[in-house]
Amino acid sequence: MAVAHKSRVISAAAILLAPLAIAAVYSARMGTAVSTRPWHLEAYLDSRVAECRRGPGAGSFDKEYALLAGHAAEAKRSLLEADRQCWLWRDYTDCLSRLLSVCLDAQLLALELAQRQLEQETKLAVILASLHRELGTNNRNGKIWSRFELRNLERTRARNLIQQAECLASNGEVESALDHAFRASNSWQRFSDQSDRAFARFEDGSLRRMWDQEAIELLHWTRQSGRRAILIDKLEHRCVLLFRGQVEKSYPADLGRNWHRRKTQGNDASTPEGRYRIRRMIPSGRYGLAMQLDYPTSADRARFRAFVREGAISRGSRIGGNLEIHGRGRLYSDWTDGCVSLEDDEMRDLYSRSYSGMPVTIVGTCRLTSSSQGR
Amino acid sequence: MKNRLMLFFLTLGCALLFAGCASAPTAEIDATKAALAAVRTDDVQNYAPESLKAAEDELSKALAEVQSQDGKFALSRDYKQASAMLKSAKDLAEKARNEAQANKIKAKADADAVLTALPQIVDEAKKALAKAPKGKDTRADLEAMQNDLKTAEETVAEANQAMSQERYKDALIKGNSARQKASAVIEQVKQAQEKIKGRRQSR
Repeated sequence: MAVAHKSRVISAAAILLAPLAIAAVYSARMGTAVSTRPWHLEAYLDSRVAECRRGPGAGSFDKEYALLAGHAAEAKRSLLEADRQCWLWRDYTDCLSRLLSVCLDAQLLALELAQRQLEQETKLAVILASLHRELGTNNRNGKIWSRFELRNLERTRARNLIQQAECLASNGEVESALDHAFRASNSWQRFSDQSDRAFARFEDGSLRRMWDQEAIELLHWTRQSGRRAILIDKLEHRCVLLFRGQVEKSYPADLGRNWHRRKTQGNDASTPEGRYRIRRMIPSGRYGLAMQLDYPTSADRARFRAFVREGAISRGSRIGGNLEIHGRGRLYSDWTDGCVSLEDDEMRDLYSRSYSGMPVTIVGTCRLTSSSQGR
Repeated sequence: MKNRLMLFFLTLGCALLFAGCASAPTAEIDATKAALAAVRTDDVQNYAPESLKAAEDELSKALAEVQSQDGKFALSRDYKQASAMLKSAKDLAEKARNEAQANKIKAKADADAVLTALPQIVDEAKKALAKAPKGKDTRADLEAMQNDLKTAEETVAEANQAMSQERYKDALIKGNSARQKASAVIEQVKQAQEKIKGRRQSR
C-alpha cells in the first residue's frame, strides 16, 4: 500500500513537473530567438533596393545592384523558410541578421549613388559657371569682341545648350543637364579655336613690328610737317588723331563685319590695312559726314593681283572701293562693309580737324594706340 | 484529481490554440507589397514620385503596426488597424499608378502641342528673315539671326528624337527653347522693319 501511494505521488509529481520541464527547455532554446517577423525591415529593404535601381547614375552601378538584389532575394528566401516553421519554434534571428546586412549594403550603395549625384551636380555647376563667365565677358583677351565672334554659330549653339542644361537641371534631370553642359563646353571650345585661328595674325611678331613702324613713321611725319594725320588701330577699334608728334585725340570706331581678316576683295566686309589719304570730304552722305579714302592704292592692286595669281580669290573677284570714314557709328559693333564708322558727334569733331589729302594709316594693332586710350 | 488534471490540460490546449489563431494578415501584406512592387516603375517615379512615396510610407506604417501587434500577447493582438492601413497603402499605390499615367499623357500632350506648332513658327521665322531689311547696318544682325534659326532647327530635331524615345520632359524643354529662338527672330525682324519705317517717315 505504501509503495502504491509512493508511486502515485511520484506520477503526480512527474505529471506536474513535466510541463515545467518542457517550458524550461523551450525557454532555454527560444529565449533569445526572434519570434516576431521583421515585416517593417523587409519593407524598408524593398524600398531601399528599389531606390538604388532608379536613383540618378544608377546605370553605372549595374554590377553592384545585381549583387545587392541577389543578397536581398536570399534574405527574403530565408524569411519564407522561417515562415514555414511551426510557430512554437519559429526563429527569425538568422533572417534578421541577413536583412540587416543587406539593408546596410543597400544603404552604402544609396550613399554611393548620392555621392555620384553630388559630384555630377557640382561638375554641372562648375561647367555652367565657367561658361557663363566666358559668355558674359564683352571682350576677348581685353580686346573688343568682333561681330564675327558674337554671331558665330558655335557660340550660339553653346548659349542654346547652356539654357537647356539649366532647364533640365531645374527639373532634376542632372545627367541629361550634364550631357548638355558638356556639349555646350565642346561648342565653346570649337568657337575658341576658330577665334584663336582668326586672330592669330594679330599675335604675329613680324606683322606687329611692321605696324608699329608704320605708326611711328606717321607720327614723325606729323612732327615734321606740322599737320594732322589719322591712325586707325583695328584690334583696339580706335581712330587716333595725330598732331605734331603726339596723339591729339582718340575715338572709338566700328569696323567691317570681318575686320579681323586681311582684306582680299571688295565684298569681304573687311577693313583694309595700309597707307591711304583722304581723297574727298563729303559733308552730307548716307551716313552723315564722311571722308572718302583713296583705296585701292597701287600697293592694294598689286596685292590683289597676287591673291588672284595664287588662287586665294577667284579671277572674277573685284578689288572694291569707296572706303570711307563716316558717322552713324556705335549703334552696333562692326557693322560696315569695311568702312570705319564713328559716332556722329565724334565724326563731326574729327571732320572739323581733317582735310583733303590727309594721311590715314590703318594697322592691325600698334603700341601707340594701346598707350593712347582714354584721350 | 483526474478531473482537475484534465481541466488543466484542456485549458492549456485552448490557450495554445488561441495563440495560433491571432496571426498577422499575411495575405493582405503580400498583396499590398506586390501592388507596390508593380508600381515601382520608371514612369511612376518620373511622373508621380510623391504619390509613390506616400504609398511606400503608408505600407511602412502598416508593417510597423503589424510588427507591433506581433510583439504583444497572443490573446491581445488586434490587426484591424494594420489591415486598414494595408488597404490604404494598396489604394495609394493604385492612385500613384493612375496619377503617373495621367501625368505622362499630359506631358506627352504638352510636348506634342509645342512640337506640332514648331514647324510653322520656324517657317515663319525663315520667311521673316528672307524679308528682313538688308542694309549695311543690318547684315551682321541678319547673320546672327540666321545662326539662331539654324540652332533652333537643330533643337527641333533633338526634340523630335526625345519625343520618339518617350522622354517627354526633355522634348518639351527643347521644343520651348526652339520656339523661343524662332519667335525672337520674328520679333527682331519686326523691330528692324519698324525702325526703318520710322527712319523713312522722319525723313
